[in-house]
Amino acid sequence: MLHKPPKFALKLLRWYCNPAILEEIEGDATELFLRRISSDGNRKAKVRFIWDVLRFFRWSNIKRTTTQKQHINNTAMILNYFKTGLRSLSKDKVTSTINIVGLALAIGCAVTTFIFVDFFLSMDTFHSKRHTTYQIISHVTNNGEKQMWSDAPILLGPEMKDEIPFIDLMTRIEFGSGNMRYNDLVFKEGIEFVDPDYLKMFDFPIKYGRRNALDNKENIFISKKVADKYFPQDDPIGKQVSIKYDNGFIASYYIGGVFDKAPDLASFNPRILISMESFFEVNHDKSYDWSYYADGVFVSLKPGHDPDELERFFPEWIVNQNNSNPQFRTNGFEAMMLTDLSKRNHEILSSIAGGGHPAGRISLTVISIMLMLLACSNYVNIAVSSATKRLKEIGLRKALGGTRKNIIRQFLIENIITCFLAVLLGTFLSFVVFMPGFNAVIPITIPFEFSSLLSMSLFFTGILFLVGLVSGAYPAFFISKFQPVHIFRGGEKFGRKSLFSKILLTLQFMIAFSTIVGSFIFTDTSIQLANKDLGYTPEGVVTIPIKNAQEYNGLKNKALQHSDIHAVSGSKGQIGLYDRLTTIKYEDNDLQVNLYLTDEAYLKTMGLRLTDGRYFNKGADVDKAVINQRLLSEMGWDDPLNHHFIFEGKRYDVIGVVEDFQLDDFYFEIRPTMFLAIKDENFNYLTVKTSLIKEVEINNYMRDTWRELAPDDPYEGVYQSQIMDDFYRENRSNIYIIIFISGLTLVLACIGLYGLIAYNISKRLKEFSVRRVLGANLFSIIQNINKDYIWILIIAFVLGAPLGMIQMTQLIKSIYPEAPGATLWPYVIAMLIMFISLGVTILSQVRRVAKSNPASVLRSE
Amino acid sequence: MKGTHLGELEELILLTVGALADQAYGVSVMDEIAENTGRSLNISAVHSVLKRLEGKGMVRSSMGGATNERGGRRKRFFVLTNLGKKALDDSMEVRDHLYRRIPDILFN
Repeated sequence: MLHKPPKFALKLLRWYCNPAILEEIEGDATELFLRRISSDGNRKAKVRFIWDVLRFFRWSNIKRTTTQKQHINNTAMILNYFKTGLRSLSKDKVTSTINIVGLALAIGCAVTTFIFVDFFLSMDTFHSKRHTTYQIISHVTNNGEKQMWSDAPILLGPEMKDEIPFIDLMTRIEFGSGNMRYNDLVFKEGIEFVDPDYLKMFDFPIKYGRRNALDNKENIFISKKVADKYFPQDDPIGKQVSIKYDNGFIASYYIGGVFDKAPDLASFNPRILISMESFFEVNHDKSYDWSYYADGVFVSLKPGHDPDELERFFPEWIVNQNNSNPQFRTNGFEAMMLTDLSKRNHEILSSIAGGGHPAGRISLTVISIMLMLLACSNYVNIAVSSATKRLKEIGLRKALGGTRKNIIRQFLIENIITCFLAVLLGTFLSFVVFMPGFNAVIPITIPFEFSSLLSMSLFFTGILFLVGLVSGAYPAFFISKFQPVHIFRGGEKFGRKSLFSKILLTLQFMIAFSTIVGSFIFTDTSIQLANKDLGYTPEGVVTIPIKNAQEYNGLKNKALQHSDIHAVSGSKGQIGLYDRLTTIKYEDNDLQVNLYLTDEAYLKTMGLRLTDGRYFNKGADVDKAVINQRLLSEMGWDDPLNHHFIFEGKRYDVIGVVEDFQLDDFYFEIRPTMFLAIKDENFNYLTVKTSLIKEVEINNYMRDTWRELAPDDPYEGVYQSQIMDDFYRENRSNIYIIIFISGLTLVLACIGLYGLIAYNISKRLKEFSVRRVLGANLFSIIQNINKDYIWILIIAFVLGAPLGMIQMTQLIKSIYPEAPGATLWPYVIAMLIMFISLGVTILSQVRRVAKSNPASVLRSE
Repeated sequence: MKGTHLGELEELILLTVGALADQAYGVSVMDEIAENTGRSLNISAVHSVLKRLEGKGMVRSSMGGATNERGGRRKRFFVLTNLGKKALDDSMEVRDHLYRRIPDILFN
């Protein structure tokens, strides 16, 4: 048996060894190996052979680059690549435009998405103490559910500052509200009670005043927006304002400072800052022990300290908290970095920081990656089929000594030129069209900016090379594979018959069909929701939130005097604005229901429609209830009017059933609801009913009346028909975004199809001319052209449309629980749009065939 | 004096090459040293010393003819040059000279 040295070791030796001395080295090593087999055995010999090979790995034995390569003129070659690249781009303008525009559309979306995501990920980075500032988050187990709360015990802040030596700054944030008054200007304002360190911890820019202004509890700090409202012209510093808090306490303060406009990147903004000391004065009747939670506790550590070091201080305070508030027990505290707050705000309950749910960021990223893939597959398709035109060039390059590597490099360089142009155009598109359009439909405005020069350059380089390589790799490898002999003999056939490009095209149209069907289903549902009956009559109803019986009675008396007001009623809770969740008992079952406490007239004023029984009678029905159909079906009663249930220990008889109505906007499902008539006048809403045309007039009348009755409080009346406006606005934005995306997919798909057909037709122009000369009519030629594509489209539709439908129906169900079922229209419209746009794409090419003169086509060459 | 100085291993290998006459190549040099001194060198060490000696002009080399041994790979044979012979002579002379000056009395 013949023994051989280990193959990989030999390979390694041949790889690294200088060829001039390889033979002798290999020979000596092999000789020793063969000798050792007889003395030491096979295994040991092999091991020693490997060891020898490794030992031979010395500087003097290693292969060096030979000087031979430097003689090739690399610069000229690469310059030539650029030149031929630009020439082939300008030679076929249609294809190049299609390629560049297609890629640019996708890149524009990617740029927009990147700016959007980048913006949200760099929230709060303008605070200079961001690396050392933390919010203390409470981990709580509530009803067996683990929760993270932004709230932390109000005593925790000062305790930490006293006990922990390396805490530099500490502030608590406690939200409140009150009516601020300056001369005769009164508005309801949101207030934050904070510790004086707030101004040193956060770098909100200051327009007037100093960062120590809050050391004096008489001073308050206001945002620019608030300042502009109360002091439009003059410098507000030192002006005296009074604030009437919700509990009736009135205090006056001096304006100690004004913030400038907050940076776009702020996930939370100060509105009116009042010192924590004042908070205890305002709400002196409560006890501020460990059971009381403030809305947020922030600390800044001294440099060089880690938040983990806080851990050992926490246990004592957790015990304190648990003892004093056993209903809401904290399991532990966590120091969360300032810049993480906006990224994790969806995990934290009642989070201080805004910044949106990551779902939006993720879905946008997924969508733009998908668009990018579509555009790249277009490019691949067109590039592969267009290579036919350049077969001779490739053959020549190879025949003259161009290696496969050279050809690959050449095509990749050409590709990067295309991509570069597409990136330029895409960025321009994003700047001019996408970003402004996107900003118009989202509630905030995101500037066209990158968080840093580094992220910008990384992004653009990345996208250039990624797109360049993803879209260019396949064509480059595919094209470079051809043999010159075959090319010149005319044997290479590809492009039209390529299975790969057919699969790509099918996939592309599948995505296009599914997004288009999906987007039409979504739009259809949204339109249906916008026109959906709410279950009551909001038109002509003006709703005014009120504080007390005095306001209620005053307003009601004035309202009754107006001849255009048909009805006035009071309620505790108002449809679409506020209701109470409570539990009723029926036999042994508990049921969660939403509760409205109303006067007798309320149901009629709101236009709720009875299906059974009657409304409340004046004065007599304090132990009666009106329920909605959902409650009825939950109970399973056949004759509801003979039933009763127990609520707060009292028995209520059902006297009426109303149709289901929309308690809140369509994000929420309709829940079991009941109305109870109450006699006392502890209402928080006053509702007046008038005719639709008189709505504005009545609202103004009520506002004037309010000014006379309660000059210290702002008037907050709303039109009942407008309470869903936020929902409709958001809904409209969603429609715009979805239609835009599906439009873009369609455009990309059509571009791809157009490019491919254009190529195939120009390749087969001669064939068609011969057919025409021999008497084929245009119709049979159209058939001939479309034969390949019709099947692709049919397969794509059969696979894509149901996919889009299933996905979108699920999405809609998760967003709008009460959504009406989709109609057939989305399919019809989606199909029509698809076939019209595809038809136009194909026909534009057929026209070319039809218009061409067969004689001139056939004469050429 | 770079170029003519000989290290201990270099001298040993140069001597071996001389002793093996026209049969000196990597493995035979290694074997010869192992036999005479008991030092087992790695083949790569022998190669690099031979290369160094060739660079200094003390040996010259030529490829041998093709044989059936060792997978058909040829051997590189080394022979002493005049310079190499002279370097050995010099070194022997120095040693001799110094050796003879050791007083016998020291070891009696």
